[in-house]
Amino acid sequence: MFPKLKTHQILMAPPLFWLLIFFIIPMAIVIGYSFGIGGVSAGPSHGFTLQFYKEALSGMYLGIFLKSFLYALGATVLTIAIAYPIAYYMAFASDRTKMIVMFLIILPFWTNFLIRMYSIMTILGDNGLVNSALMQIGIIHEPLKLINNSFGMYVGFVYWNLPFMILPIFSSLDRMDVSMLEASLDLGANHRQTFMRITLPYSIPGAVAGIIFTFIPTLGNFIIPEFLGGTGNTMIGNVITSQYLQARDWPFGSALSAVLMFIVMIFISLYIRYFDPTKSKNMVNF
Amino acid sequence: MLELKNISKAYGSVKAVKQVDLTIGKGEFFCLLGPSGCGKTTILRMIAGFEKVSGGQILLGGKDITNDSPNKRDVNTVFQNYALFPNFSVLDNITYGLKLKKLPKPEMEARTEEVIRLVGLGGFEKRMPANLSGGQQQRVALARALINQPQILLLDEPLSALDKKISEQTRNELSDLQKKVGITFVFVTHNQTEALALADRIAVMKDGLIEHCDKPKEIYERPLTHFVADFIGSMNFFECTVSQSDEQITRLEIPGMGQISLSYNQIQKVGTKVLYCIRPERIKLSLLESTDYENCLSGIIRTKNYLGEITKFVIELSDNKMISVICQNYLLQLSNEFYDIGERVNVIWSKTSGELIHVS
Repeated sequence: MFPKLKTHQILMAPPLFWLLIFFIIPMAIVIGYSFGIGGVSAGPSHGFTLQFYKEALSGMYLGIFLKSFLYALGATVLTIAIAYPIAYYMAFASDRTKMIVMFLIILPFWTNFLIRMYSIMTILGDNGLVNSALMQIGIIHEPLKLINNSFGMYVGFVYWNLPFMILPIFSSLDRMDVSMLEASLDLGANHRQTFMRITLPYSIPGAVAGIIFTFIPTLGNFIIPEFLGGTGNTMIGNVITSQYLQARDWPFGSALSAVLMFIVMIFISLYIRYFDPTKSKNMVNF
Repeated sequence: MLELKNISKAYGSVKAVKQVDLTIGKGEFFCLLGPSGCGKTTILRMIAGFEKVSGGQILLGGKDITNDSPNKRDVNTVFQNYALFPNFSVLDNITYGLKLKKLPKPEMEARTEEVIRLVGLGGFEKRMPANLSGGQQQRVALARALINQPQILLLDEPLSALDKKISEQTRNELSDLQKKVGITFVFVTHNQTEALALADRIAVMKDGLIEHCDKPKEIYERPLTHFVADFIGSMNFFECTVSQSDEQITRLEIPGMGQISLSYNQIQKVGTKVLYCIRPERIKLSLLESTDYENCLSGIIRTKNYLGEITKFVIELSDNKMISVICQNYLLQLSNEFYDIGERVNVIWSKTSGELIHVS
């Protein structure tokens, strides 16, 4: 007969199976391609080789990696600067206000991503809402370049990332006991000192989670640069996409993907090292 | 020392505190006692500065602090849930206030050492609050407030989160501590035992007003209002009419039950309706008519609860009037008295045992 399985082992089987089929095997295939061990779809097999990695880490592509990193970093910093006040406001607002703001944050998810990108283009384009309004009042006489440059790209990134930053920060601030703030005031701290010493440290786990949710997807993003970045702002995601879809150089695309994955893994392990979610008491749970 | 002058607090149309006047002396252990929603915590929060007063004035050492923000007031609070900073160690929690005051290091260290010794937290300095028991967390909260040497320490139900044994032990320590440091304590509680045991003076509150403010003994033995008499300890009430009153004795007529006499030094007008109250532990049970006590009513034992040191009886007098009586088991055993449910007994008590409350 079958060996007796414990309930949790049975319950674990479907997710493990899912991960195996849709995560482990595809990743193994990509890594296989990147070493030149290809199948039919990856073109002719080259046998085991490091040439694709050599190419992926050559000057030109390293530059794109670095640029992508800086874009992701900039987008994350901008996002956190905008998200924090909103999250703070929400956490200390009335339950009703909390609900309304939460609803407004989630609302864009109900609309198709492409439509949202096109609407940003309509708003920020040369003949878009902003430019025509500014020209109407006579502040400017020629349309400002608001898209197809890095400004447009940052707008897109911040727009896209905002909910993923607001929600975890809100979630950690929301669980803060107001009497802790009162205690700080009571002990002689003013509002600024209370924020710096009590509130800010308390929200760090949430902010770190938000940074992870923001930084990593931005690093590999290829749609927003495509729509809003113009020709000069190629990120590593775009290169990988074009290697797969246009150049059909799957082994090279795979090597780039593997390098990107490796970079992401460094950040994740740093995160786990310093903000171990299983150890931290006020860690964000979703 | 601390004066509350006609202070009130309204939340919209709800009046949480209505025109309270209170003066608390230096070094006093003062208790605000009352059921939940009576406004006692609101008063505490107004003294701390977390709530703005809707009207009135707060004076601390003669200085008007009514509109000062909490960090400007020489007052510290021990919160009900302690409100320790979870990401700070015990030591960092305790020194939080001093670090803000930028005290010279030697003084800071001396004060820290002293307060840690005072509350008995030696050896716990490096622990995080989450790794402390409730009693230890409470000590940290106390130390964190006391180290600032405030003029007044406010305590918001600090014992209510502790289990009974620890709470009683902490109560004694708190009392000793207050005597040692000599700081004025204002203590909020809904627990009358705590209030009676700790306070120099108690203010019993109801619906945003102080009903009775006096020493614990006075409050227990000579309650001013029906509410106070009922809230503190247990009490039997009789609605009655004054039938005779002079310097020696006042006699009351309980409709359908007979007369009660009491030595009450204020002469009452005959015919006045009053509330007579008598504590269950001041009544004796007897099979015989009383010879040494002035008051005697007859009834049948309806319930009997043995509670270790005492037994609680409920006795039905005439007119379905129930009265509770508490007997010391030790005394019952000494005099070989045993009473059972259904037995007819006399309830007897002295004329000096009861109190009169005026009903408006």
